[in-house]
Amino acid sequence: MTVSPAPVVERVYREHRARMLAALVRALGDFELAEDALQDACAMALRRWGDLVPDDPVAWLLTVARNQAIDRLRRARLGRDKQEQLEQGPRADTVTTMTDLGEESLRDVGDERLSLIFTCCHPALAEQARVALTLQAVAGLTAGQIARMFLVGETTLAQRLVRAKRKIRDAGISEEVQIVPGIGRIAHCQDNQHTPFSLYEPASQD
Amino acid sequence: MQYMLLIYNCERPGPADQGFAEALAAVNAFADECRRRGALVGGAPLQPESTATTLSVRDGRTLITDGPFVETHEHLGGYYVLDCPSLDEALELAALCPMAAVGSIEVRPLAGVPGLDHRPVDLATTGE
Repeated sequence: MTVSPAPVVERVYREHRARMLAALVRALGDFELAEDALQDACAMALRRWGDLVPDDPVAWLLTVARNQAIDRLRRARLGRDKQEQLEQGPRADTVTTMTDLGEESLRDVGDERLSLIFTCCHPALAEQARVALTLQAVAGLTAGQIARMFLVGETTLAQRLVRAKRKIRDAGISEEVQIVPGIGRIAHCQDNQHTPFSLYEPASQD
Repeated sequence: MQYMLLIYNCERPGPADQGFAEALAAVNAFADECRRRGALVGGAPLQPESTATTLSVRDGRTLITDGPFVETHEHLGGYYVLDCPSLDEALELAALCPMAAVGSIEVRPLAGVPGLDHRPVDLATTGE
């Protein structure tokens, strides 16, 4: 009898989502593509894992997500440069080598989670978008939860997130930023997830 | 990726004005730095907006009006096109531009459009 892989997939996703997303955003330079690819990989895991869960589920998901991203790029017939970047560029190595790595891959990805915060907090993004994006990408909050914290409609917030993600892709915002005026504020929000009004207290100067 | 630096609200001294030589040297030094990094694609100062003419074609009729497209307090005075690996590098160079200390610089990525042929005339005629 085949055991449903759903609980395992869910657990791996819940525990490692931010790390996997960070690795993918870094490799692809495209937030939305990274999210879609990760979803594709999870969907495939639900179909494939059955009795046999891979030794390194994170590496499995990352490899599948990367391949899905290439497929999506190919299908869209856009981003020809990005495709080449993935196939040859130095960034591609960080993902392709994941297959060979066990626990080590997670340590590598750990660094990329920080780079994801830098990307989300890039000063070229509007401050509220920075905070919202970090809460979604790193802390895993939903657009609805973030919208309630900011006291704005969910649609408005979702649009802001999409705009920010597209700017990251289209303006070539890299993840190696030193100036990060948003980070103190994000820590502040995460500590106070359940008390939305604290957002409007003056945030400590970063 | 290529970025356009749009230079706003920056008075440009004329050759007879005081400080012209210093301003010229600073701008040339900026261009040197851009070239040193392999980033400088092009750029030019623009004549003032009083010289602008705006044109549109509707239903086959060409409409020409005197003046810039939008009357604002923001005056576009010139531009650079820089080839940079990331927005951060473009922003770093924009911060080195002497005009940033006087006016403001808008940094915009150039869009890639598949199939678009914008080769300048010298490249197009040699078939490169």
